[in-house]
Amino acid sequence: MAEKKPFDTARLDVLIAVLIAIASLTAALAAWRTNTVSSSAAEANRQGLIDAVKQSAAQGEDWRKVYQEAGYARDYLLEGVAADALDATGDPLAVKTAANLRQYLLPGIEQLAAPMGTTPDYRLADGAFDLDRRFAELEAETPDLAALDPQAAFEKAAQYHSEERWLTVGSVLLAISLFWLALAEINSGRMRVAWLVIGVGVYLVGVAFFVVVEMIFFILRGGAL
Amino acid sequence: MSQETAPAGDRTRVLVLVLTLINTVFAAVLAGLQSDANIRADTANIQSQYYAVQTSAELVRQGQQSAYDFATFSTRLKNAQESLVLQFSALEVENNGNADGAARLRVQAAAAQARADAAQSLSIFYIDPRYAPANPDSAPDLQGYLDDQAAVANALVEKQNAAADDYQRWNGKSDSYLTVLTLLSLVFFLLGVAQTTQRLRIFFAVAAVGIMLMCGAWSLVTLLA
Repeated sequence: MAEKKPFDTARLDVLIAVLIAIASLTAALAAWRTNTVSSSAAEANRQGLIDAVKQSAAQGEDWRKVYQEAGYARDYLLEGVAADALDATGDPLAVKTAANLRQYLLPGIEQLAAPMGTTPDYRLADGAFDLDRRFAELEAETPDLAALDPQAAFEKAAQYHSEERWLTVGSVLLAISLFWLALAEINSGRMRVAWLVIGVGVYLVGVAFFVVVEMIFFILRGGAL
Repeated sequence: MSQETAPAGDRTRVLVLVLTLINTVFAAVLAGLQSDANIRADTANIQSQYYAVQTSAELVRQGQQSAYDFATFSTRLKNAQESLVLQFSALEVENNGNADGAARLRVQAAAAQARADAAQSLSIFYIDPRYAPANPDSAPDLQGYLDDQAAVANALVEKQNAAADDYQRWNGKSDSYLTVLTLLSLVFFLLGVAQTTQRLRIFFAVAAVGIMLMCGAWSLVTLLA
């Protein structure tokens, strides 16, 4: 009758099997969480790109409007100085032409040229129109679009990716612990306890690592998962 | 006899076990590297698309600015030329004895010159020292203006190209790591077979080591690339 070795007990078999089940479950949860974080990073990147497209389209429209208005303002200014020049000649026909320009032509352009062509504040010291000021005003008219910040979304994605990297390391540790626990389960003799201790140790390190990483990034994101 | 062969069998079994452990660690590290390469590829891909959006928006804005600037410039040229032509005509008409006609032509010339002067006061080609003519008879630096206009878009295109190159590089690395990981799963299979068989254990172990070495070399080349 063979003597039963102390490390081959059925109780140890069950214990290791339970530990394998727990480690498997933890590894699956870790893989799920890593995948969720990866998904959040992809979502933030996607949002950043959508914001960038919307923002650039809104800015493009505002610039188009600025240059369109600047064109009208230029025409208004040119016809105004032309009328002044005609007046300055003193020629009755020219003076009459200037009066008609002011009566019929300029009011029509004035509506289109406002505010850049009609308000002296919009002229810079060198004489050019203050296009940046007008652009800022148009941007302010659509605060929702102006507030879009693609870079913030990309930074958020970078942070999620950074967490994903560390969580992957944690998941790998959990996978390695499973390997050692499996070795303890299938082997016999004194070494199985060594494999078991290593497996449990790596598992605990993996779980602790995972929790610490989660806590750090949870705090960094201001309490958001 | 069996007592002599048993230790040799145990030794090879331990060897297979150690190889499995090495393969596990190798696969774990490679999984981490693959995840990292994948994240970097993803980030570079998004950056590349973001710069493409920005380049596109900048080109549109630039087109509107150029259209406005050149329209102002051409308005100045057209009116200055018209003024000159009207003054020449006035001289000719005056020489022919038509003083009234000459006076009317001079009035029109004055109006055209007033428009030209006003357009000049608005034109970037005359008020910006970077492009303004060095003397009244010379032309503005149009090429310098075009170069400066293209500089912003070119800088964005350079960034976009660099990000696209980064994406290609990291995506290639990620693909290579994934292929190596697939081969390592084959190594796991070979080592598993080696663990269970007695007769061909060495054969399977040697085959597994061969593939592991190849994977190691491939990973190293990929890592350093």
